[in-house]
Amino acid sequence: MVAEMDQSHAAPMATLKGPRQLFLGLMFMKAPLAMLEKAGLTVEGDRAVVEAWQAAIETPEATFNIVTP
Amino acid sequence: MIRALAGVALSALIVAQAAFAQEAPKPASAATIAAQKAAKAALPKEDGKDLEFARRGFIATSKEPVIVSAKGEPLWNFHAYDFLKGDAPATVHPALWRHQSLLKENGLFKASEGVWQVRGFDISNMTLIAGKTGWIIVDPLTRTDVAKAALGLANEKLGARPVAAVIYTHSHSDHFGGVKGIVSAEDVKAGKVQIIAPEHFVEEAASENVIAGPAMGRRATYQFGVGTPPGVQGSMGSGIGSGLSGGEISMIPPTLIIRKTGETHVVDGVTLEFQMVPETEAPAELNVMLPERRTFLVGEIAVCSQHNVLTPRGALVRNTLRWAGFLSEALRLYADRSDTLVASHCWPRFGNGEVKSFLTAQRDNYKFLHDQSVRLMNNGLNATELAEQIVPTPELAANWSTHGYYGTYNHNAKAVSQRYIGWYDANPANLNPHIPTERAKRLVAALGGADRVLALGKAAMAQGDYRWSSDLLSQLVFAEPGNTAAKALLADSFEQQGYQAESALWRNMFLTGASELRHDAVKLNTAVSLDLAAAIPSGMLLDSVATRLVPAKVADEESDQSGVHRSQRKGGDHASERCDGG
Repeated sequence: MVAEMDQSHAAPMATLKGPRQLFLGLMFMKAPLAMLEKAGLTVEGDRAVVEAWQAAIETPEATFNIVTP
Repeated sequence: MIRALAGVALSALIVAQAAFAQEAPKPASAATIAAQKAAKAALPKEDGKDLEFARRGFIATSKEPVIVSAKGEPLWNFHAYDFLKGDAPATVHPALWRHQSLLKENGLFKASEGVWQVRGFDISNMTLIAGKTGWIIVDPLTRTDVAKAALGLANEKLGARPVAAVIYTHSHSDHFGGVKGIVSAEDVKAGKVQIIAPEHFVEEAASENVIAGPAMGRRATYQFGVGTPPGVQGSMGSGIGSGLSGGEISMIPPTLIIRKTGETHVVDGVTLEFQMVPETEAPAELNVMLPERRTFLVGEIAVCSQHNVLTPRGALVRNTLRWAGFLSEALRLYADRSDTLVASHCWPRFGNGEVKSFLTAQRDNYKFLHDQSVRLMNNGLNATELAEQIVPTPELAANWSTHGYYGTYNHNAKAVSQRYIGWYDANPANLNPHIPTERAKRLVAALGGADRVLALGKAAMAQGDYRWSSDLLSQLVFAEPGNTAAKALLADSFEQQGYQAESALWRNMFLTGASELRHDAVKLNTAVSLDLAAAIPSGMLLDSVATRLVPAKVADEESDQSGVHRSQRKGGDHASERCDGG
């Protein structure tokens, strides 16, 4: 994944617009897309692409073992 | 939003609130008793100066034994280290016992004319400078409630004053997180309060640990001994303070950015002369000279302990050479004009001679550490080997303030090597070894099996060779994670290493390791400050989420496999975001 600030993709498959908090919810809390849309996130283009992208994001657990494998 | 960002897990921001497991600590072994005796015999001469400095100017402390939140949750216990009386027990290194005995002093202290400190209300100190109309606060602690309590004590004992300005010395949260406990964002916005910080403060404060946050957060539980309560067989603080406070971390962005050494501002009638010291203890950091009060505020680049070149929780390696250079510069620019030195951790130094000798010893220590590590590195020693050979000069060894209660010569020397030449020791045998579990299985088999390794571990422990017993038994635990005898013995071995450690961090790490072998890993509240979440640059958030993408889960997508995302920032903390996925 490559992110470039202030640059627009020539042919995006999907475009998301909304307040910062909703992006945080999408990426880090993995809140359901439908819920975020109700809260004001807009999705233009292929919604399935956004859902697949979100599904591919993992949430690291901060309780991994250290002194045992 | 705190919950929304729980996964970001900024390790410097974690609330050290854990479900404490019941420990089953063992007494000091004969070997540990002997090691403590030897350590005691090698201690610097006790002249009583540190205790006198730690107590000088004492005015009063909190009437309450514990600072609690509005909900009644305990946030800071002033009596956590009341057990520190008399000689060190065999379960604590004598220098660390002495050190934490000094750090536990708490209250409001006069440092110099018009300058006070509240110490022992958090891991860091709050410095208060009396201006014409109000307080100039340097470093408002880590959390809002403890900051409020500290300022409340000063106002009660010295007369209530408004806060005219706040200085953040650097970008670590224990130096800014309590700000909303002493001033409001509205007052700052209205121009009633000035917030002063070094260049790049906001970016660094928000960004440190974002990308590597989960790993750092987990490792920080070891470094700070989360789940290991204070005690003669438990935690002995952090080496630069008694521990981390609880409560809310806040941040108000600065209104005045300091960019150059020598930059001088008159704030509320007080002349503030700044020294920039970036890329040392923090990526954005400054010191402050108060010329009218002949007081030098050294932030965190010279404290009562050797600091970390690479903090064990993990970070980018700091620049030791630059660190020593800035201390030379401080000696040249400020030492002659200073009768008092105050720092954002630990106790002050009083008298011009003391200021000079303290800064000189601190500078010499970092320079020695750097130069000798590099010399040995250039002679072909790898990090482990050179760390073994870094032995302080008699002059440095005789100075209490250069000892390793926080950072150590051992892990700092390895860090210097890492900064210059990285993890690889150039021995191809170490270029591509088996992963730890596979290597452990083969080693255990080669050594004759689990029972044999267990016996070898016991024999090493009986001889007091805990470095070797921990090494052997760790191999066995990695080969056979279900081997309870190996885990129990490894816990005992770690524990003795912890007891013998001069560094509070090493002690915490060994004892937390032992605890984890005996019990489960400590669960943390990894809530993130709303203010800091708002300050994380959008580009950095996207970089962070990119590190969480699982390739196998996107492999089937028809999209461009680079997963290019482009975002436009409209400005402001709550700006509309646009993300084009192609």
